[in-house]
Amino acid sequence: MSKKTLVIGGGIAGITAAQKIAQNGGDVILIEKEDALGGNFAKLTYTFPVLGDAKALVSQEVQKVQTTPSIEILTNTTLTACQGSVGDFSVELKTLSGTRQEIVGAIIVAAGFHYMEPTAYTEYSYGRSPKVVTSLEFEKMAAENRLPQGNVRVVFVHCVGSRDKAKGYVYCSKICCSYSAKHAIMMKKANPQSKSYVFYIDIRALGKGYEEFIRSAMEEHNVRYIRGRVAKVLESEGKLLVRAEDSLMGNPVEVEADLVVLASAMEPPVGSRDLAAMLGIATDEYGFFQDVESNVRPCHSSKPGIFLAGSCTQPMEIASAVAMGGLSASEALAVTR
Amino acid sequence: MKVVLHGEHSFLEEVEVRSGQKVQECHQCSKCSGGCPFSGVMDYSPNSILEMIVYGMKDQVLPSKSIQMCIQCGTCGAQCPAGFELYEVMNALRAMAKEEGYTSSETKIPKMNKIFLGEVRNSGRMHEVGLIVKNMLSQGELARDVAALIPIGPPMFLNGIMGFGDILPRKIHGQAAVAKIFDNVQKMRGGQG
Repeated sequence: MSKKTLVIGGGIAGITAAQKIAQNGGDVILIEKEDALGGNFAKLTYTFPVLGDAKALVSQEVQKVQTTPSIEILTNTTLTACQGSVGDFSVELKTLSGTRQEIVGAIIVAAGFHYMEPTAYTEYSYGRSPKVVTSLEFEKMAAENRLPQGNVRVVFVHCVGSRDKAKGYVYCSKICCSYSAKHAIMMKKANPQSKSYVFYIDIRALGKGYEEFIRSAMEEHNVRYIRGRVAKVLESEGKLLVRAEDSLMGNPVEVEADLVVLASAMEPPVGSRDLAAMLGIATDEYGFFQDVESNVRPCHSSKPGIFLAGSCTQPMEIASAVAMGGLSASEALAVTR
Repeated sequence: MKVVLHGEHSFLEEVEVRSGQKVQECHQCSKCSGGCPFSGVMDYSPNSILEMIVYGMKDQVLPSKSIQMCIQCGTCGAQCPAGFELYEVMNALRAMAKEEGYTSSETKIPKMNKIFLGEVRNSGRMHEVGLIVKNMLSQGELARDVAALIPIGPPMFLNGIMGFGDILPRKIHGQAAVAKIFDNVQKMRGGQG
């Protein structure tokens, strides 16, 4: 029986799982398909509901795994084959320098998520106007100090691809309400002259401090919340015209905007079904990795010895991904020691 | 077991059956109303109409201006996150209003619809000039309508968009067959147009 655990994915869930296994005497191979660790977390500027420095937080965690001798980190590496059963999995890894065989006792899948590209939303002018961006692009603009300056209006659009069975997914992506509030606050802090508008259907802020955070966007930062899903974004003469219905008033509303930010859905990581097939585990109807029992076995995949962590199972915030990383680590330790 | 539904459910069910749409699929995001080119001139916004159907507010929905103002452009359906075709519901509501004798505060559109269909019946096709003239004569605001037409009509002739040959109606070859379709529909509806 191998005492090693293979962790697939170097985002915050995978990093946490690797740390916890190592802290409890286990050995880890941590593989990441990109050339650096950190995953989606490393693409952010601030966290919510406390505006923490995301890059500093994630690099601190990355450094911990990099300096732990019992964690072997392989970047630019993917899994290409997997055989065997709990306690004795034979895996093939493709690295930059060639393929490599390993025997591991447990596997943790922490493959993360992907932000949906809202190209289907032609009514929002995404892809046609450079002033219509996704939330992820907004994060990049903020990190590079490229947020619009002066007397500008910024519109944030909730539920782009989420709660949309026609063009996206039926499910709620859970974190967009909170991160859109974060973006509106970031906008206000970066440019106090700017005005922000958030179009929502209903506000889902289910976490400690989340409701207070969104209220603070409204009450302290004067972000205007308008109830109604945006119907159209039109570009004319360098300005964007955002059309919606204020469903509380029952009246059409138009906002002339300089930037429109689309909160695009969290979707399964690219290639999740292929990875699941290779591992012999189940995915749900969307391609997220399926737990065997979601109440008391949230990190057990459909195959013994293979565990799940983080947003590859469902949309979730950083804190939940960390908690799930820790839980999957203890499950992996239970079968490898 | 026989299921007896409450009276207030029957309106919702009738609308669902006639429109082929599940009204309950709507999650009231109001994107339809935001995209509707006519929601600004409606008495109830399109998403409100759906909620009123759920509440069984037949006596408010069927005489409303909103159901007459819908032009069936389909923007609501194309954008609806629930994949719901609201314009089909509007169509069903208009038919129900007509059948059940509800009169709307919006009287111009039903009048114009009747003239439009008369044109199609008589010529086998739409005759724009005939439609405009008959419509202006029937709406009772002739002076205002003529004044409104002056900046639009003459330039269309001057720019060659319309010619003098367009003034009088021309029947299509199959006009008699088209008229027969109208007669058959009228028979099917028990004499109602």
